[in-house]
Amino acid sequence: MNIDDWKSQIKRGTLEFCILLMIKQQPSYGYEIISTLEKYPILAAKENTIYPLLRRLMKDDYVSSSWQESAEGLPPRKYYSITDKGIEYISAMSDEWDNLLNAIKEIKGA
Amino acid sequence: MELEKSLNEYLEKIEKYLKPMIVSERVDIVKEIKSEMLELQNNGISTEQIIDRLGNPKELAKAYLGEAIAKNSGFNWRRLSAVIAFYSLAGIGGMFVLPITSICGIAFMVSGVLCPIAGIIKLVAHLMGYEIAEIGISIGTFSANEIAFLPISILIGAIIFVIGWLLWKLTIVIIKSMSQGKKKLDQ
Repeated sequence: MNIDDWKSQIKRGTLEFCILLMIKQQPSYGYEIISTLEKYPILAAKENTIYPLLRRLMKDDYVSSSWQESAEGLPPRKYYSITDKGIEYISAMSDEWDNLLNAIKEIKGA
Repeated sequence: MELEKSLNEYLEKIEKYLKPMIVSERVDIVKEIKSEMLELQNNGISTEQIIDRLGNPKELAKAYLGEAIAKNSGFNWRRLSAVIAFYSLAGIGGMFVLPITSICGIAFMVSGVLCPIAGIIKLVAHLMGYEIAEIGISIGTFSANEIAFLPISILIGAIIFVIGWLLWKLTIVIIKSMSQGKKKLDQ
């Protein structure tokens, strides 16, 4: 049984959704997003996945970004926040996600 | 706050690998990675662990380039240089398959454009009383005259151009599959 292969496919499809949900909750910076994802093994992903993904979400106008100074002794951070287009995208993804869960539930049988 | 020497070297490598990107984007990427390095350093993480966490600078740069190339499918020179930079980092598959598909793609597209131009030159020369024997078509005993040559050259040019375009598309598809492959997420 090779569950890892399947898990990585699930991750690929859901990472974008989860990152957008996190950014919608509150503006976040890259390392913060990566650390939060690390708490969930199914979602954990490295810098070389997350940073390019954030960049793409930005180019697609789902998120915007701004550099902000941090407390003394800490480096400036690049914060990502959700855009109106991003909120629409999340809501469309949420609908599809519910559809998927319902379908699985029905197929499994009550 | 100052970065350790080896971390600065890491950033210099990223910067070098990302040369085909526009300056503002490249500076922003390096700044963001630097910000994370400082944050980790501040949390007491050792330089070795930081480098270990970020992985090979080549792989990290490749992930950025791959995403940038996959983003839009049009053709322009900046994109071409990004493609070249990408396959120079992409290893064996990139060293053979991608150069062939991308170079043939571009060569076919250029030839496709040149072909009808040659047709026009031949026709114009003919109308002005010159015969250019170097340009023409002959298949077996058939050879087209100056007038018939133009539409034939346009048709052939169009076919060659489409083949070139498809090869270019194929290049993009291969890069997409390489950069978004599961290998990256499995790490």
